[in-house]
Amino acid sequence: MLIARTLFVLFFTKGLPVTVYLSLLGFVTAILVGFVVGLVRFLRVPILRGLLQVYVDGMRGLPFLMVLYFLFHVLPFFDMRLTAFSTAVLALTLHTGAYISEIVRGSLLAIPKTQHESAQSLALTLRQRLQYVIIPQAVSLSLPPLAGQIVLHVKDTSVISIIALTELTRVGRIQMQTNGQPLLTYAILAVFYFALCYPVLKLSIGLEERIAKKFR
Amino acid sequence: MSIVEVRDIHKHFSQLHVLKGISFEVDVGQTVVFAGPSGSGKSTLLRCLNGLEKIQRGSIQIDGLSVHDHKVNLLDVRRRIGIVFQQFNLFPHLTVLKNITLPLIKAKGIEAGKAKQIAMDLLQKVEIAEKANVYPGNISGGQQQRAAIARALAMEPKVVMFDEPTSALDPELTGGILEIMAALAKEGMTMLVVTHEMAFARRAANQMIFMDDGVIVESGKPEELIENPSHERTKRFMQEIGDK
Amino acid sequence: MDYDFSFNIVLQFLPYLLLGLRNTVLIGLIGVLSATAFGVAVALARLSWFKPLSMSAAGYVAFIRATPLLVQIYFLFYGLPEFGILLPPFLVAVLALTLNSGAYAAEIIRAGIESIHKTQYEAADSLAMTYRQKMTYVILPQAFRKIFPPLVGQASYLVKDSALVSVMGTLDLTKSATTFQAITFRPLEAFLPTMMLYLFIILTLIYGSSFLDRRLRKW
Repeated sequence: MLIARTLFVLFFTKGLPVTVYLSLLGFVTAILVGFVVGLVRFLRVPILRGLLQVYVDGMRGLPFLMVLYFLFHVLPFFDMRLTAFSTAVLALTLHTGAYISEIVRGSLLAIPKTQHESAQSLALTLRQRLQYVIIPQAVSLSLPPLAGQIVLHVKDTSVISIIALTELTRVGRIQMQTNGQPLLTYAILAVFYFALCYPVLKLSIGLEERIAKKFR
Repeated sequence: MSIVEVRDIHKHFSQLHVLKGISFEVDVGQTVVFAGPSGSGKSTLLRCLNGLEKIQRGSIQIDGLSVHDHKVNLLDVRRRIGIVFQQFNLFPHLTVLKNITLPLIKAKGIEAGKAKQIAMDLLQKVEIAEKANVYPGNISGGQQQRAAIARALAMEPKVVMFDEPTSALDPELTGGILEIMAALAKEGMTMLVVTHEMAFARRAANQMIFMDDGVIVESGKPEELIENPSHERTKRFMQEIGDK
Repeated sequence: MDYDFSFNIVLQFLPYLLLGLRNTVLIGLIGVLSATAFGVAVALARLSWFKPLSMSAAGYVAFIRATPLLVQIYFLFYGLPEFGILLPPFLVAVLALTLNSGAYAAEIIRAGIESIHKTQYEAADSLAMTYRQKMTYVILPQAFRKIFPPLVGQASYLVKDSALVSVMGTLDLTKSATTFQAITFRPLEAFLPTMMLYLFIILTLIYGSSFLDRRLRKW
C-alpha cells in the first residue's frame, strides 16, 4: 500500500496541477473563440460564415489526436516553434472551441422568432436586441451543454500525454513503467479523473433539468 | 392628413399572394377593427405596417413617414407604432417593470428614474402595479397581456396595433383586456385591432374592415357590417361568428 | 514557409495509408456492432427492476463517462496481462472501444425506450398482448426510430476515438500516418491525406445521423 500512497502523492503534485491548468486555460480560450464563432455563424455574416463552417466541420470531423499531431509536427515548418504546452493549449482551444461554437449557435437559434419581433417592434437596434434580449436568454440555455463539454475537454487533456507533456496520464504511464503495477496505477489514475469529471457531469444533468423547468 | 395611409399594397410569401391590393386610411383618434376568416391576411397586414414584413408593391405611410422607403430609418417608424401580440411576447428573463423600462431607456434614451416612473404609472393604469417586480412566467395570461399593453403604451406611440389580443386568453380574462382597449379608444388613441370580438367592435370601433383572401371585401360602420352586410362573403362570415 | 509538397511522396505513403484505412474501418465496423450489442445489454440492465443490477450498470456508465478513453485503453492494454489474459492489440482495441462506446450507446438506447409514452404500454396491455409481444411489435419498433439516428452519431464518435488505439501500436489510420511521418519527416504528405479520410468517414456519419433524424420523423 506504500506504492498506492506514493502514487497518490505524485499524481496530486505532478500531474493534477498541469491537467487542471491545461483544462481551465484551454476551456476559457475555447469559450472566447466559440462565442465569437457561434455568434458570427448565427448572424450569417457572408463569407465568414462559409469559412467558419469549414473550420467547425474540420474540428468535428477529426480525432483530437490528429489535430494535436498536425499542429505539433507542421507548425515548426511554418517557423512557429511552440512548446508542447502551447501546442496543447492551441489544439484544445481550436478543437473545443468548435464544439462550443455549435452550442452557442444552437442556443441562439433556440430563442423564438417572436422575441426578435417584440424587440424590433420596440425600436431596439440589432445590437440592443442581441445584448439585452437574445443573448441573455441564450446563455441560460447553453449552460447544461457547456457543462457537458467541460467533461469532454478534461478527458481530451489526457491525449496530450502522447506528445510528451507531463500531466496526469503521462505521470501514470511513467510510473507504471517503473513500478510494475499497472492495475493499481491506472486504477488510482482513473479515480483522479473521476473525481474531476463526475461532479461536473452531475452538474450538467442537474442544470439541464432546472433549465427545462424554467422555460416551460 | 390621415395618420395611417395604405395604398395598394401587395405581398407575396414566395408563390402565395397574401395581400392583393389593400388600400385604406385611418384618421387620428379613430379605432378600426379588422375582421375576416383565418388566412385572409389581417395579421400580415399589421406586420407590414411596422416593417416586420416587407411589401412588394404599394406604399404605407405612418405619421408622414414612408415605412418601406430605404431612406427612412425603420427605428423612427417603430417608435411611433406600438404593437400588442396574440402571444403577449414579453421578455421572460426580465421582470414586468424591466420589460417596460428597457425600450424606454435604450430606444428612446429616457433616463432610468423617469422611465421607471412612466412604467409604474402605466402598470397602475392597467391594474397590475403590484406585479412590477415579478417575472412573466409567474403571472397569468391576462396579466401578461396587460403588461404587454403597458409596454406598448410606454413608448407613447401615435398608433397602437392589436393582433388578436384576446385569442390566447381564457374566456373570463378576455373581458378585462377588452375593457382596457375600449377605454384607450375613448381616450382618443388611434387603434388598429384584428379581432373576432364583435361586441367590442360595436362598442369601441369607428370603422370595420372585412377582409377575405387578401382583399378588402367591404368596410364601414361596425353595426352595418355586423347586422346588414352588403356582400355575401361578409354575410356568411358574420353568421359563422354569430353562432358562438 | 519552407515546404516542398510532393505528390510522389504521397504515392509512396499510399500502401501504408490504405492498410491503416482498412484497419480503422475494420475496427470501426466490428466496434460499432459489438458496442451496440453490449449497449443493449447494459441498457436492459439499467432498466431492470432488480436494484443491484440497475445500479451496477448505472455505476459502470458513470465510470466510463467520467474517465478518459486513453486511460481505459492503457488500463486494458497493461492490465489484462496481469490477469494472464494476453490479447493481440487489435482485439484490445476493439474491446476498449466496445466497453467505452457501449456505455454511451446504452444511454441512447435507454433514453429511447424510456421516451415511449406509458399510454403505448397501456394500449398494448388492453389488447391482451404478452410482454414479449408488446415489446417486439409495439415498443421496440418505435424506440428503434428514436434510437437509430443518435446511434449513427455515436458511431462517428467511435471512429474518432479509434485514433487512440494507435498508442498500442495497432496499425490504424493514425498510426500509419505517424509512422510514415517519423520515417520521412514529411508531415503534410502524411497527415493531409489521413485527415481527409477521417473527415470523409466521420462527417458522413455525423451528417448521416442528422439526415436520418429528419427522414425518420416522418415515418
